[in-house]
Amino acid sequence: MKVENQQFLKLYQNYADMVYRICFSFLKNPADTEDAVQNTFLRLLQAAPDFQGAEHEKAWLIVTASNLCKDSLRHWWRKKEPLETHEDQAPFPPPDIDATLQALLQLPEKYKLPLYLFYYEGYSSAEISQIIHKPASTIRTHLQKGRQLLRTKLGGDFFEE
Amino acid sequence: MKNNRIITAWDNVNPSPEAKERMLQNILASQSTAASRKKSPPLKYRRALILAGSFCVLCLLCFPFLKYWSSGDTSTGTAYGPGSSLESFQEAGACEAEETIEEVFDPDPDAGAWEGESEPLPGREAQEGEGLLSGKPEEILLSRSKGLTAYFRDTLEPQENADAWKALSYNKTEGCSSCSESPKISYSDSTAIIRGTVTSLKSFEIRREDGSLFPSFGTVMTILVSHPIRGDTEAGDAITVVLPHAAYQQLDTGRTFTAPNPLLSALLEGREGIFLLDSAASQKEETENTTLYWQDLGEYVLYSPESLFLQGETELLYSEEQLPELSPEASLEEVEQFLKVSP
Repeated sequence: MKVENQQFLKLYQNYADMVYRICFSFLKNPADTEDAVQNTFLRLLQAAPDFQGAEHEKAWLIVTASNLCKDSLRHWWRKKEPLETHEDQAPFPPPDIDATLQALLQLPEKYKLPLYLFYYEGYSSAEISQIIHKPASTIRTHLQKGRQLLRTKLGGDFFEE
Repeated sequence: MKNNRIITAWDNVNPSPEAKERMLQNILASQSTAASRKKSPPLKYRRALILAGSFCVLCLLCFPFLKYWSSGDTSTGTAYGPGSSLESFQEAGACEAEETIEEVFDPDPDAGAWEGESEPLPGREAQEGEGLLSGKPEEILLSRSKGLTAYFRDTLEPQENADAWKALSYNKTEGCSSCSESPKISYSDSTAIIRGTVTSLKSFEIRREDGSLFPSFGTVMTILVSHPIRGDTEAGDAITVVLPHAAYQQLDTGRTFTAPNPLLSALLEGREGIFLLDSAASQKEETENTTLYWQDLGEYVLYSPESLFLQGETELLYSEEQLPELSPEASLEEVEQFLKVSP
């Protein structure tokens, strides 16, 4: 099943928000996040992967978005173009960052994606392991460490609700 | 399993309808540009071959004289090949536009360029004190740099992200995984490697002298050398190191920039580490009207996050993804071993 125009628009409508959240969790500002979302969907159009089903589409977008964001972070050191440079060209209103989101954004990269997929998208650790190609035990460890860090920041009863 | 507080927090992070539409239009525009590029017919082989051949012949003709131009030496006419001379070259009339060629063949091998630099927006002038970093600016004297002004911003607070590092604990690994036989990290002959303690961190902001919007941010850190591993420093030296990026992360506003690599947020006063440093003396960044000599800001430059190994509260803080051979449990001594250098 190749990606056709109509299918692309459907994928974009269905998953743009999810890709945006994943990219924001890595890049932490709206301007870079928009760039990363565009690159992810552009990659989808150019690669035209042969998807096996809806879950495959979603997993492909999750992995591609996170990989593109990691690549972008690797090149940050020499990048000298702050967000202000573009602020007159396009409005990038910041999202409401509450204490929970701030704590989530401050987590090390390797914990963020598993926590997002587990607690927001509702994937199991086994499914996350298949999506991001890491052993399930590693995913469980990352979830556990991520939870510990969130408890430290947000209070001991954070996951008791 | 879902968590309501996490769901509520992430529900706030959504692109606006305008942003979604804008992104979609950009994607489709990029895609159509790429498609039209693919459709454009390639140059005819024969024509391309003739062009390439002509270029090669031109290069071969001009090559012996390039040495002369790039060195700027006019005293010896025979410096660029037996039997040739400046006069005979000029008589031959080849490559008349010496000035143009001088521009192309910049004699300074260190010449660089700003990356990610962009032109100021029309009608957008920088305001006094405007910048992402707050506080009263303290001007830095840039003795060699041209067309730029720089200010220290010393009120930037260490961000709480540093606490996340303190609470971190990594997966345990067996054996001395830090003692890799083939470290992936590379450095040049001139790279200095030192072990020392960060004693101060100061953020700075650079702008174009004409006031146009060109903010660039960085940090000057002072390190007290405890153990020189490589290079000319000595124990007890206090050296200044420029990081071409602000060290602290700010998450709370829309005007925020971020230091996406959390390693930078772990740079705190009093933290010990091993640092791979390039001498600032040979480093400069140039644009059409500006030149920034890093030496104006510090003695060394630390460009890459792979050049930073910090001793955290419980473990080593380093660029984990780029250096998987190294374990977070490694000590600074093991890092030294990893870098394959003799104390």
